[in-house]
Parts: sequence; structure tokens; C-alpha cells
Amino acid sequence: MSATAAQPEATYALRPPFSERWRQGMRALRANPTAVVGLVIVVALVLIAIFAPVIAPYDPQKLDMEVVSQPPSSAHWFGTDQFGRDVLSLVIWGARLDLFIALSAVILSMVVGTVIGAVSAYAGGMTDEITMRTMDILQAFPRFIFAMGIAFAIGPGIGTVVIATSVLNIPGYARLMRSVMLPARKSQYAAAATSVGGSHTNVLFRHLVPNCLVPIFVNSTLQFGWAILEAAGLSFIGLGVESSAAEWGALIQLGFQDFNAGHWWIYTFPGLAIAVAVLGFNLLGDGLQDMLDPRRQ
Amino acid sequence: MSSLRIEHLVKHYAIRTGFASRQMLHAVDDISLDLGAGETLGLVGESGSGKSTVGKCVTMLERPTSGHIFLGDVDLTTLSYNELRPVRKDIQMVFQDPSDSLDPRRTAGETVMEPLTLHHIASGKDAIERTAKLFEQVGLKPEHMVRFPHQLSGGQQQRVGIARALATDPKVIVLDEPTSALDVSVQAKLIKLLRDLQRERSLSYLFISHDLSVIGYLSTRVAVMYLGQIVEIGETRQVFERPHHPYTMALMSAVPASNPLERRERIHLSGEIPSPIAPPNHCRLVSRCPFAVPACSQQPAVLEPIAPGHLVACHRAVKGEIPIPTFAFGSTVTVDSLEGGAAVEGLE
Repeated sequence: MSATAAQPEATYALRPPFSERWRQGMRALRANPTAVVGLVIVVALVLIAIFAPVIAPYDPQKLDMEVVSQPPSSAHWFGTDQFGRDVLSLVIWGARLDLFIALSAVILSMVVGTVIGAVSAYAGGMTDEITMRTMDILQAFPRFIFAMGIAFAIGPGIGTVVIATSVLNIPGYARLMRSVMLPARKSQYAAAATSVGGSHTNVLFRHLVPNCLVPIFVNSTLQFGWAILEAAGLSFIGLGVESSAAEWGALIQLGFQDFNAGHWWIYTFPGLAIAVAVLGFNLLGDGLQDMLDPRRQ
Repeated sequence: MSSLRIEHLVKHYAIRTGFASRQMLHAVDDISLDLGAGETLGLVGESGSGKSTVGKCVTMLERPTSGHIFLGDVDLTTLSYNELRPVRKDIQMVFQDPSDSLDPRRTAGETVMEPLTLHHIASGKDAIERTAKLFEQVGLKPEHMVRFPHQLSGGQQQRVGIARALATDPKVIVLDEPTSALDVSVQAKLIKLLRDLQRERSLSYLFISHDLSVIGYLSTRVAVMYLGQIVEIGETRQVFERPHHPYTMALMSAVPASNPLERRERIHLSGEIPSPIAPPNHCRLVSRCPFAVPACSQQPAVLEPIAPGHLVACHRAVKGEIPIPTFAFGSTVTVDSLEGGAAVEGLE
């Protein structure tokens, strides 16, 4: 153990340089082809959502009575719906709305649920007991009934979908966080954080929570897929966005009305979009699980 | 002057023994100790003797059920969590499992620097430079600061743990089996490092271990724990050479002698350590003690002096009724026994 001759003005680093972490991240990605596939799908979806106005060949809300309910053609790759709207443009714009709803719902439930679960596990005792029983009650609500209640209170719309999908996911996050936090709380690094003089906030949010986030992030990625499904489901039964909106669930509902006429393209393409999105997020979530653990690098 | 004084420390844990029934586990039952400035007090005992619980109570990571812990003039047991925070600067802890005691998402440098910024000892560049200095003091290189715990060896991890404990320049450090998770050659280096640091900084150590050679090498005094109580306490040499308590005798006779020609008579304790749930009111060794007589089951054994500074909790030993074996102190605590006979760099 030789002490290096430290120059008086030598600057010391506390973190490895960014290039090293980037290299490590790239190496982890290369070892994880499923995550790459998921990442590509998700990035593509996000890009489509951001650049929807540029990519979409038509204005999704432009009604064209000349081309009502046309099957896929070179002019309309995904066909047109019963109002003559271009299904491809609707699906592209739908990515925007659906990703936005899913993102809001996931972030809302993640932040609230994580904080509740973390504090509950850290405090323990009666606080923990009361919080977790409250979560039980919340979790016992049937989802769609709850959504109907919200819709009844504030009317159908994006807000209803976001609240209905997020509130009922809070218990899931709280429970997950609590289950990871309970053993972490007993770890020696938590004791060490206390023994060097950290406050409760410091120990909980600077030491324990960061170490418990991997399953939370992984779960969020998976939840993202579910949130899209759920948002689409709510719109499909008419509790979500208005039926004419460019939203995958609403679009499937529209196609469903014409089911007997054999207009398969109206519901198939938004359905495929949902499937691809859910698949992408699930693959990414599975991959992240392996990559985010610092001990596995 | 004592830098740390423990008075009648008791720690009971409530445990569930069935549906809605609870019993008390007596982890520590009425322990009093004091630790002088610059002194090392070794706390020995087998697993389940409550020695680690003493360490957690002393650093107030666990609230004692009753009793007092004085750090200087301050009774730690009267302080709330937030009142304790500034006081913790003076009493630090080195943990048993080096890989678990470091935050896996923080670099070694960040871990060691945290106490400096928490206690406003230094900030910014100054804090980083002091961290680098601490790294050198514990035998690490400043380059190790950017490493994450999983990128360090066990010995290096424990050095980081020691550097963190030293950062606030404490008066007392509680060492909870700091070397038991490491292999022997690394152990020897760390023990030497701890001894050197103590000399440089006049630190007081409360050294908790089940390893008698390590304890013998570092400690000025030794306290032997059995089932939550101290059964014998005294100068290391006194206790190691002339153990008076049957339990200490058994421990000492179990240490392998480094001289193969020296024959040791083993003093065997039969059976396992009894359950600490509802322990007996009398001497707790009775069920295993080769010298037990019916009188031993009638009254609690209390610590009584048999020589200046040497106290024993045994009715019969105090009256001189049991034969006292003699062990060669040197053969128990030579560094040879620490190193497993191999010459290890830096140890005399």
C-alpha cells in the first residue's frame, strides 16, 4: 500500500469520468440485445410522437367524403375510416396522445407510490400499518368502476384517463418500494449513513431510495405498456377521450362499430400500434432490470 | 478520564412467539463498562452473546431499553435522533461486513466525504482534498476515490469504512468485528493499520470480536460477554493468562497454541448457548459449567473484584474454589496466530 506522491494542486475526482460510464453503458447494452430491440421501438415511438405533424401524410381530422371507408391503398396506406380520415395519420397522432397519457399516469403513480412506500417502510410501526391498509383499500377498487366514478365526477377526457390509470397504480408502486426498502433499511450502509450523522431525510432519500429505484424503474417501463393498454381500454368503452380523437383505443372503438362491414383496417392498425408499443416497453423493462444493477456490470 | 461510559445498559427485543404472543429477548442485560481516552477495550463473546448489540446501542443505532451511555459528559440516551446528529461526530463506527456497509451507488470518495460535509467540517474542493488525505492515511490511493464498492477488494472496502469513521476526527470508534469478513493476511494488515491510527490520533476503540488473537493484540483491557452479561473483565494480560471465569477458561483453552509442543488442557462446555428468551435469574452458565454446584442456581452471579481492575462474575471463582489454569499470553496473541504463521508485510 504505497501512498502516491500527491501534487499539492492535484485535482481529485469523486466520480469516474463520463466517458467511462458511457462505455460501461454501451457495453451493458451490447450484452443485452432484447433491451436494444425495446429501446429502438420506444425511441421510434417517441420520435413518431414528437414529429407527428411532420410525418403524418394527412391532417388526421380532415374529413374527406370522397374516400370513406377505403381499404389500404397507395394513397392511404392504412386505409380510411367512415369519415374519410386517413388511418395512418390517426395512428401517428395517436402515438402522441397515448404516450402523453401513459407518461403522465406512470410518472404520477410512480412518484406518489414510491414516496408513500419508502416513508412507510422507513417509519415502520403504526404509520406503516395504516398506510398499507389504506393501499389495500385503494387496490380493492375495480379499475373500470373507479374510472366510471371519476368520469362521472369530472367528465370523460384525458384527465379522467390519467387519474383512473395512475391512482389505482399507486398501491402497486408503494408495495414494491416497501418490499425493496424493508431489507435495505436493515443494511449496514443505512446504519452507517445514520452513524455519520445524516438526517432521516438524508438517510432515506439520499441513500436508501436511490438503491431501491432499479425495480421501480423496471416496473415503470412495464407499467408504461399497461398504461397504454388501459388508456386505450377506457377510451374504447367511452370513458376516455372523445370518440373522434386520434387515440388508439377510440380508433379501435370506431373500427368496432363497422366490424360487420368487414372494415378490418380501422381497428387492426391501431391495435397493432398498441401491441408494438406494449412489446417495446416490456422488452426495454426486462433489459433495464439487468443493466441498471451496478453490481452486475 | 473516561471518554465513554456505559452504565447498566439493557437491551430487550420484543419478538413474536406465536399469534398475538410476545416475549422479550434479552440481548444485553445490565452491562457497565468504561473506556479511557486512547484505550482499546476488547469485547469478546460467541455469536448470540449480545456483543454486537452493545456496539449498536453505544452508537445509538439502537435505542437501549434502559441504562445510560455517556460520551464525555453527554448522556446519549437522553437525546433525540436530531439532537444526536452533531454528537455523532465524536463517536463513529466501523461495520462488520465491508461490502454491505458502503452505499453501492456511491463512489468510495463520496462515501468518505459525506461526514465532512454533513458536519460542515469542509466543503467543495477543500472537502475533496481532505478526502484524498484520508485515503492516504488508511493506505489507499486517491485514485480509489472514483471506484464503486463493487470495484474494490474486501480489504480496500474496509479501509474505506475506516476512512469514513476517521473523517470527523472522532474520540471513540466502535469496531464491530471489522476484520472477521476478511482473510487472514488482510486481517493482519488492517489490525496494524488500526493500531497505528490509534497511536497517531489517541483514539479510543471499543473493539468487538470473537477472535481472541485479534483482541489480545489490540486491547488494553478485555470484557468477556456471555448471554448478554459480562462474566469477566480486566487487563488483557490478566484475563488471558489467568482467566478466573469458567467461560473465559473454556474460550482460552480453545485457542490453538502456536507452539505445537505446548499441551493445552481443553476445558469443555457442554451443549449450546441457552436461549436468550427468558434467561435464568441465577448464573447463566450453570447449564454448561463443569464447576457448577447447586448453590450456583440460587443467586445471580455478580461481578466481584479478585484483583485490582480484574472482576469476575462467578461465586466459586471469587471464593477460590476452582482451579485457575495458566495460559501463556504470548502464545495466544502473537502476531503469528494472527497471520497463521506466515510472515506478513509490515507486522513485527
